[in-house]
Amino acid sequence: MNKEISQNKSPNEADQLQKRKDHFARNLARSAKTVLAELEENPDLPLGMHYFINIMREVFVKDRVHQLLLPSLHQSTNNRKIIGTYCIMVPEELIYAAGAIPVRLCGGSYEASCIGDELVPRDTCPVVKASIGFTSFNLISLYQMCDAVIVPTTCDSKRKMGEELSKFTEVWMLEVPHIKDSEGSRRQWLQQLYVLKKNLEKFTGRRFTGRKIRRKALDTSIKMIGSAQYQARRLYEIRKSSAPVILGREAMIAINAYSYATAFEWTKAMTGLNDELEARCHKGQFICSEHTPRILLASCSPIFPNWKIPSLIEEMGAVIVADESCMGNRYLYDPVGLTEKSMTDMMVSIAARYLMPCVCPSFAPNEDRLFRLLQMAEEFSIDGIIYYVLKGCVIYDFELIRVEKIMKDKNIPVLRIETDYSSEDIEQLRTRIEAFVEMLGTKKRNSLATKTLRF
Amino acid sequence: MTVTNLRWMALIISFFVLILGGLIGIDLGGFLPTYACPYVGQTRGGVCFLFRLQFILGVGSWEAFKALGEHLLYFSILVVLIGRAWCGWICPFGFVQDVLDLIRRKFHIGYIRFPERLRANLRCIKWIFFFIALLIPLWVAYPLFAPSVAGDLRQPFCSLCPGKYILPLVIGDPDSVAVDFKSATTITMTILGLTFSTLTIIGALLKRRFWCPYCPMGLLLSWYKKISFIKLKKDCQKCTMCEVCYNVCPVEIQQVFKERENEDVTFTDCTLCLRCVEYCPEDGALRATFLGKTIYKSTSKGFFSRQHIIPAVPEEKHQKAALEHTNE
Amino acid sequence: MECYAGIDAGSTYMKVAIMNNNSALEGYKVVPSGIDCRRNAREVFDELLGNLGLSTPDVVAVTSTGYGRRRVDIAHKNVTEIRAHASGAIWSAHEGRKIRTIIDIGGQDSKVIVINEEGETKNFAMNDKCAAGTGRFLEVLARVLNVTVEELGPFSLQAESPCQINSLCAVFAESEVISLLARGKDRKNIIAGIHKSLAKRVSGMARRAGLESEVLLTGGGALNPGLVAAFEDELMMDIFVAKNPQLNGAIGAALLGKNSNGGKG
Repeated sequence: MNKEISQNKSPNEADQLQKRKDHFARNLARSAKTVLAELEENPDLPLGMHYFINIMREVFVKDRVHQLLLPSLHQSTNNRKIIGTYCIMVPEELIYAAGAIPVRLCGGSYEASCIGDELVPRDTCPVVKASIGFTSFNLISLYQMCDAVIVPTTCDSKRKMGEELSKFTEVWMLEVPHIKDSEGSRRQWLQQLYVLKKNLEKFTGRRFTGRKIRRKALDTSIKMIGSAQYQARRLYEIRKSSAPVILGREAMIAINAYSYATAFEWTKAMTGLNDELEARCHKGQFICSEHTPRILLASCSPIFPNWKIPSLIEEMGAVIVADESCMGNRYLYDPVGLTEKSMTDMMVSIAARYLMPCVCPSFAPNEDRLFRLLQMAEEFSIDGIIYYVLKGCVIYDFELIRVEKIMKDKNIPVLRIETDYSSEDIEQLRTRIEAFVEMLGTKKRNSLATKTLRF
Repeated sequence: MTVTNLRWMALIISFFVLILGGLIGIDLGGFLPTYACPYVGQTRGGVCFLFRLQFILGVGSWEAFKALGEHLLYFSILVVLIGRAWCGWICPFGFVQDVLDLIRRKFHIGYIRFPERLRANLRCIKWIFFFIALLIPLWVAYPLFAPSVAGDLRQPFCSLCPGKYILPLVIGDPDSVAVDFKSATTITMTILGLTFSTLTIIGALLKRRFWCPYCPMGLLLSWYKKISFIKLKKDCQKCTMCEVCYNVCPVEIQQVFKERENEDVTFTDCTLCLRCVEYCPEDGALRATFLGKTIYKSTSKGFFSRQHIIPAVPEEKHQKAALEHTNE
Repeated sequence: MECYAGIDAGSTYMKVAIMNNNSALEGYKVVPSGIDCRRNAREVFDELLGNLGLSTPDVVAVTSTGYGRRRVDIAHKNVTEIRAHASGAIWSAHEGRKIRTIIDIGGQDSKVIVINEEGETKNFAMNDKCAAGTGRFLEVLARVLNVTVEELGPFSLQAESPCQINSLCAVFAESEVISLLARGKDRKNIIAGIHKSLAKRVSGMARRAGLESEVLLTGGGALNPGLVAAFEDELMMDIFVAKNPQLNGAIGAALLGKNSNGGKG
């Protein structure tokens, strides 16, 4: 691994490099620690959250992802492959069924994005910068331990990122069509998944015997992820409650942690968290009042440890009740709908699940997203939308105008925020978010006052 | 009990009533909007409307046409009542296809899906069958040319219909699959009919509800979809376009998930089997209504219990009880 | 006498306003922000009270706003600039004006606030990150042109054919201005062009925020008649300049303090 950097370097240079790496890794651990400490400071933190916070700590602070994913690594029987994935179009069901473990690699670290800055054009989005930075520099072992990474061709940046990553590691590109409606592109997508399946079989199989992905194994892995999705949906339902029982930044960490955990373990922990939260609902143990402005965090994904925006919003007195990011609510929302137990049907259903309901802005037309947002705004009684654009994410920015228009009809204010992973603009953002939250608060109080007057 | 099980029960009961009901003296009349095939002989419990239609048109007398009007009225009432649920819940031939489909599923063989182009091209077949059933009997009644050919063309659609051959075979009458050597015309017609039957049996083993998109009875029934009491409705905002409804649909209707404006998604081919409602993972995105009243709707929990991820949800029973009520 | 103080600790100037119980302006003071916001606020506040012959207990509520609002420790509470400006707008506008939009040209940011009849914020927009569309933009360019900020307005009103300044970025605009000067363009025309460029940038923001008439211009920028004229040209509507435009935020903050204390006293 890490072909380019370690080759042809004199001992002195290698030493320098190591120093630099250590420096970055230290900073990364420090910033991750800060975010986690902030989360843990909350006296209302649900007990069930500790598992998820711990995952983040193991991965980013202690750098012990091995123990997390492969607890029995030293046993000779366990030589499971680890497959890195980007975006949410990679069918994890197939990876699990092949006996490998998927980890999601989309990067959220400011430090890593600084490294990536030197390797990609300036206007690239920080997710890609961070991912490339992580891979090229081995800041944490998570990236190094992947035997192969799958990069779907979603937006331009991710597509070119795949090419850049191939300098450092084995990359499989997965071609995602950009028009969902046409029959041709759906067939092509299904074809792509069959190819991926074959590749996985070849990759994970033993040298001569090979190992096919069996129907039963696929069914089991679909069910396993289905259970995770059921729990994710439970959390989603809980967050609809009129007075929140969990902060958005906590719920989002919990979902984000799925990237670095095995589905089985994660589901267990999530079940516990959901039970705890449901008990809170029954007991009326709310973390803030019904009058707190409810925010929908739209567009780009906050990815740990970049917790700048979620923290800022909730620090300013609002609560994020919903998000539509591909690391948050959308990550585990759409389930695979099996209708029978044939391989064909499983593949068709998996293909459908990863393509059709996905509202990534790399699809066009992407009207579905507007419907989703409207539905969310209604379901979660949203007071305002913070439209979070990562610098360089043109496609999300493109859709802002449409979103603003439909939300204007619903009388829901939208605040666009453009930022990256750095913390230099935090003061400006604070003012804008505070004013926005203040405005929503006034509006909410007034509407509640008129409501009570009427009754 | 799931809707699927309920539907199986309805199909089994109606199969026995319509195909074997004659044994215990059931006679539901000659205007049934379903394949109550008279060719099964004395055991039949009713007669298919298309059979009677061709017969009456073939007689061609004024009295016959009056009788036709009466038949049409009864037929219309039945169709308005439950629409194409006749196809999904009652049709004995649909039942036979579903059994063949079950066999395929038990062997874990995948289904075939035709490309959209092909499907669009095949759409004309039901119209051809319909005109055969409508126009040839008139020629039989008024044989202005080639009277000898016309004479052998009584019940023209029936001779082509796979139901005529397969349904008697199912109840153990092998004579039905014999070629009629009476004349060249009958030979041609029976050979065509047997070809369709063979195709349907093979097709139904590979493709869900193979015959239904070509059925002229289904075409007739679909004309009532606007005024029929049972409707399939969709809340477009709740839909995530996940395509599950398309994947479960035995007649492969795409429009249900693609629809973005209209609430009514009872499309022409829809047999109201309600599998889409059953499998939809969104709360209330799809629902079936009877006279505007919701009798069954999709639930997220229902979805996960159907996927065997969580145990069955008890409150579903109420929904289905309501549905059962309306179907009797 | 009961008084209410508003302290607007802005990025460039600190504004302190003292209002009496009848919502009339008792006195005010505008000083450069300096480096120690906390001490500065204290000093200015005490000095102002001294000038007015008031003592600290007279002041029922001190409300701070602006970038330094959290650092002003004499304040009882702090509010965002947006809210302060919105609340000050009704007071600052001349009689009979139904203000629905406030354009504030501050030292380091500019904002557009759309309010409803009650003076509550309906929507707002702020400049994102850089100095484009702010007072700093004018300051930088005034320095290049060798004029004071106060002179910009009168100069630009004398312009005959304003130059085109394309850059919104202060740094790029600076080099653009230098090259215009090198080409021998009249300083007045350049200044008018600068105003136009700034007005254009902020008007775009205003339109996005859902501009409604009538428009009130506040902040230090409103003291510049050239800029007011440029806004009128750009938005093609009458622009009203606030009474004491620089003080709008401080007055708004003081009024908010008064309203929230209204129940008690």
